[in-house]
Amino acid sequence: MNKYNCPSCSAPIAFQSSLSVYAVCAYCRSMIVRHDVDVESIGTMAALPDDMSPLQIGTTGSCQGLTFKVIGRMKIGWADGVWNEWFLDMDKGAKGWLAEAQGSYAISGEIDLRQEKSMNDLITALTAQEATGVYKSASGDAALGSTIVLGNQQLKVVDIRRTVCLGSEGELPFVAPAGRETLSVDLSGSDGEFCCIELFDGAPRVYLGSYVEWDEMGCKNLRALEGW
Amino acid sequence: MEENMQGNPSPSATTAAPLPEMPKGKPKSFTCPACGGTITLKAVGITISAVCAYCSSVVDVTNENYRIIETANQNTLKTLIDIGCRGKLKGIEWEVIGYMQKTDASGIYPWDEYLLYNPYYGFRFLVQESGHWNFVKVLRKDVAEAGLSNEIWMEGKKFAIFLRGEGVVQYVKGEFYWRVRKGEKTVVADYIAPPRILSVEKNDEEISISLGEYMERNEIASAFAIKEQMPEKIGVASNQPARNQNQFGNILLIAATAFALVCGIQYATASMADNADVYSSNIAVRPEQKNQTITSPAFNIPKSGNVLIACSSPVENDWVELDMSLVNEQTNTAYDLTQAIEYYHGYDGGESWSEGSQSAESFISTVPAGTYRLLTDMDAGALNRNMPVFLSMLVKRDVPVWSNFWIALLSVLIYPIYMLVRRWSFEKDRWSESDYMPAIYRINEEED
Repeated sequence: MNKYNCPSCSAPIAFQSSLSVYAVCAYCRSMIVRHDVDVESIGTMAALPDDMSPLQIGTTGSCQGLTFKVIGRMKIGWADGVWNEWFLDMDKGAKGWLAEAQGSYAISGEIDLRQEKSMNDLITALTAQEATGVYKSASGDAALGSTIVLGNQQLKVVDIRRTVCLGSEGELPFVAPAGRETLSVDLSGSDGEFCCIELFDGAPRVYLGSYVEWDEMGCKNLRALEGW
Repeated sequence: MEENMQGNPSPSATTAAPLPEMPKGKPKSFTCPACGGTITLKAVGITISAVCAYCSSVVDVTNENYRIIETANQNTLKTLIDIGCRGKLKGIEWEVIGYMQKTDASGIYPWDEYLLYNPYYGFRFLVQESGHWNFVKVLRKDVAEAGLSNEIWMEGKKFAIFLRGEGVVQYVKGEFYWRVRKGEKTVVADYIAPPRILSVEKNDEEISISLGEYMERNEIASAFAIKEQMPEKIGVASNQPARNQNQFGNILLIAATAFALVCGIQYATASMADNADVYSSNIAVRPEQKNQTITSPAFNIPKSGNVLIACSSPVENDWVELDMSLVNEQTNTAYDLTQAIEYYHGYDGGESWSEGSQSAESFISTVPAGTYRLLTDMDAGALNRNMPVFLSMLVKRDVPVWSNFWIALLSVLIYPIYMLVRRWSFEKDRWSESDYMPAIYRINEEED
């Protein structure tokens, strides 16, 4: 764990994951970027929009035998709503993401799948079409509803949307100021597999995991919710 | 140097200060842009459209931008369960935050959809149609061929197509995590594997697949403490489980076991029976013996048990009547019985016919061991015509008994058969509302 002091308010800031390069000061909401030896403030983060999420920075839980701790969050908005992407510090130094949207949960990790032909074709097609906003699969059909194959698992494209970061808190593996725009593509499989492709500034990141039920995670240190 | 002081890992930072506490999550209120009334959101951060309880305007609340989507001049519809009611279903507490009244495309058949919310478990739907209730969860997985094929296999169960139709939103109140709109149409395909129902709903933007489970109306009434009369159940719902559905297989298994047992017992007792002849005779009775009692020699019945007396006579269009008595030599106890042997046949209008038989049997269920004689008084058509009558008599003891077997078999099978018929008729009622009734239930249907 690397510890620093906030350049703005001097409050202690600890980067719990060696993968984190960005944090929001919990006291003064300064956005802090970690360089090799020092940290730099790049501005102030406005308060995040309210929600009723039971999760918070510090919530712990487990997924498929790995315990995790929530250490950061991005609030993502798109034309028809808002969701949370919680950054997880997992066992054995792994990092993961817990997507919380419309009361459902999906846990995934970043995976390099660009070697997989069918994934690579989809990413290439999406990247080329990003400027037009009309998305087609490699075969020329609408990308939405098309399928790709990873190993022996078929995944179907269920959502393609432009998203914008509405704010962030805690620590994250990239700089996530409000206004950071991405193209986000969700895929799902017949056994509850979850996959998300994110294009930010032309660079793809692929996350693979699965949908999980609330009870499966056994979350602790939850946020207080009035009336519940 | 200054930057170094702030930026480098510093000893002072090792004393971990507690993080500022996250504010409690709570409902959020805002003012209706149409009427100024207060609208309170429960699923804060997820709800994107809300309906004002005072003026029924639909307000877009995405990104805290409170814009009127639709002004409605409509009174609030009273519903069986109010917005804000809470109830426990399947061990989890749910709050009703939204309500939609939908109909089919014709607008004739309405149903209710309540949107349930729990901040930990997300959303469910509670659907009421014709007095039948379903508890529904949206699936987050890809279901191949959903909506296209006539059957879907999921978790080892076959879901059979039941209905293809349209749903139209007629009325909304409360809040929703999607853009709700009156008049919104969805194309629906329902597949059933009672008590579950898989619904595929498709609108212009997306396909949503949900899994519902049939709920008894008293579960709903007690969960939400509903005081009003629950809507009467009409007909059989598409995914209503048959009564004893789960025990059905067991009952058939028990019946099959009992059937095998009854057959086994019968086989064992029949093969153990002595089935022994104790007396037999073939006699010719002359006309002058008509009023005499024919007395058999004494014969021994060594063990207490049943006795069968079988007589036959080669009568042709004639009759023989026997008044018989099996008499115990020691106690004089008599077992009286009568037998009639009649056999008629002929050839009429090109067809031969016959009735009656040339033999008759009598059965006495228990006779004590002892020495017996058989006394027979005979009257016969032939004797009256001055002709002799030939008669064969056979007395057997400990014969295999079949009547108990048939009674046992009937009592073993009657309930399963009744159940099968009732189940069949229940399934027929279920499928009567569907365009996809399986052939087995189409028996007795009128052909068009």
